[in-house]
Amino acid sequence: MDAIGVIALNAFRETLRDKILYNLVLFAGLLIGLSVLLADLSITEHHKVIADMGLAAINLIGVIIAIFVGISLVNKEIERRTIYTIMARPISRTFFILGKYLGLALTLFVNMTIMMAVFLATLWLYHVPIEQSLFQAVELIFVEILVVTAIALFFSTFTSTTLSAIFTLGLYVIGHLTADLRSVVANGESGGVKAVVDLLYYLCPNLEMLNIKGQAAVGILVAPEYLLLASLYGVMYAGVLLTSACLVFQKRDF
Amino acid sequence: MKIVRSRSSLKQGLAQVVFGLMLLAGSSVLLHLLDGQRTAVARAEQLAYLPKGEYLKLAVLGYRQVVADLIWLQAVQHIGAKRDTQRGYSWTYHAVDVLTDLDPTFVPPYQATGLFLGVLAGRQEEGLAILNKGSRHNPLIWQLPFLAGYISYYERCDAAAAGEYFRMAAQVHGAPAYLPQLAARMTVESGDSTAALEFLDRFSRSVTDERLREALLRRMKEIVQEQDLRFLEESIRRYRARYGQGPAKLEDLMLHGIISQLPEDPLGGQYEIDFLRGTVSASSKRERLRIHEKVACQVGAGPKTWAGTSSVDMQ
Repeated sequence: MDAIGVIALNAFRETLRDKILYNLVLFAGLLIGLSVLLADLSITEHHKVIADMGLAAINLIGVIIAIFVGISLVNKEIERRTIYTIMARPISRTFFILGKYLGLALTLFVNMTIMMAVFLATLWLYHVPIEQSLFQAVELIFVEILVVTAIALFFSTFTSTTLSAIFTLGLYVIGHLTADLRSVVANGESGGVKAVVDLLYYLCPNLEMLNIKGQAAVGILVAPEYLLLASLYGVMYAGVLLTSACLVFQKRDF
Repeated sequence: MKIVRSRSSLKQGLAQVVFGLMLLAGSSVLLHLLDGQRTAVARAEQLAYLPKGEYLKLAVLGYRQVVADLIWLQAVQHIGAKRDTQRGYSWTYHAVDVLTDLDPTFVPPYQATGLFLGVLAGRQEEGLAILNKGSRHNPLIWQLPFLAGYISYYERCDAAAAGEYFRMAAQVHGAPAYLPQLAARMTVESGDSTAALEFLDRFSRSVTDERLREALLRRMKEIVQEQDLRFLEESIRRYRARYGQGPAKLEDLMLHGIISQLPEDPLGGQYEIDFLRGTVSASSKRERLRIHEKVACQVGAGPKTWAGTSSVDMQ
């Protein structure tokens, strides 16, 4: 178990060395710049727009980091051939994958915590009420990012960096559309198509379940049961992907 | 040798910087020229190309609210723009329709668009359509059916529809206590400008946005002005009936005891008489409120006190 911690810490340090946290400057600039701009536009709900923008920026930046860092975590070790030194040690491949995942999760957690702090400071600065619902939304955004990281890591265990990026982006898009797709097919006649779509619905991640940004921005809380169930769903789905990633990685020849 | 090489590399670097700056200046000039080519109308036209909300909803994934905000920030530039065209209003309506598909609980766009299209731009059907949509998605916001009621009552002269809207607004929990009484008054007869003024006054107090409040204020002044014009024209008719010919100037109405004093134009202009036609116009607003030309929608006769306008009694 110590090995997982060591690899995670290493992965965390590595992402910091890659200057991942520089995105925070972009985030802060975007949010504060927008808030200043909004102060001049009167026919609008400043509070809601600032909250919307902040949550969307936290989500988008988190997803971008999860995808682009997630796909390179394993591939970079293979390309640099540092994987041989790691594999030569008594570290199981499962621990390697889990360590990498946890390292990136830690980076994302630190990143999101700072983004959240900047977001809250902006809200406070512009006298926007800080609702509990915002914390709920960010909690589910973090779960979504954990799922996306797991997707990226899964694909990176058996394909190239470019293909992993395409597949992860694809699954991210699908993840937001499965419910719509299912409701479109539900109105159709064909039972076969419905069955296939139902199967895909449960196979693909449903990331819309983790999206409560809209209601959070206007201060509407979701039930604690929903928050718990949705978080569990996300973590469990990420678990499925990590298990698959470990399985694939164990079969891989170096 | 080393110094010569470093000098030449410095020269090369400097040349590259200068070249880069020249390209930047060139691209800035081109951008400026392009800006000039792209008129305000063309910029507004972008709103017309927005895909329908039901499709856009799928394309923007989990970022519906923020995309709705961005569309609203664009649309809001055209709402209330002094030189906006009827086409511009159509595009604005489309944009707001799309953004409210993305975020149906975003209330300010319904309110602002309903007010600008339904009251200020004379596009009552679109104004009512957006307000009806807003009420469907936000049944707890009484201001939306209230505004729709006003448009039906005063802008469309449809007392029955207005009554229905006011009933809806009054039923909302938290609606102001004066609403049922005002609704009862407005349901009796459509087009009563005094009731319309009361509505606008009360509505402007519930509006937090400065631009919306200014627009409402202007509308109230226009209504007062129209009341004055009708009052003066009615007085001219009385003058003509009494003396067999129209007055040469408005002051004659006062001198001959038809009116006690001349009303002041709330928009800051002067009232002028057209001796031949017996009509009165205001120098501050050449086009009179469209609604008053309708025969079906009779407005109340006497002028009312509002915003510094002195009350004038018929003699």
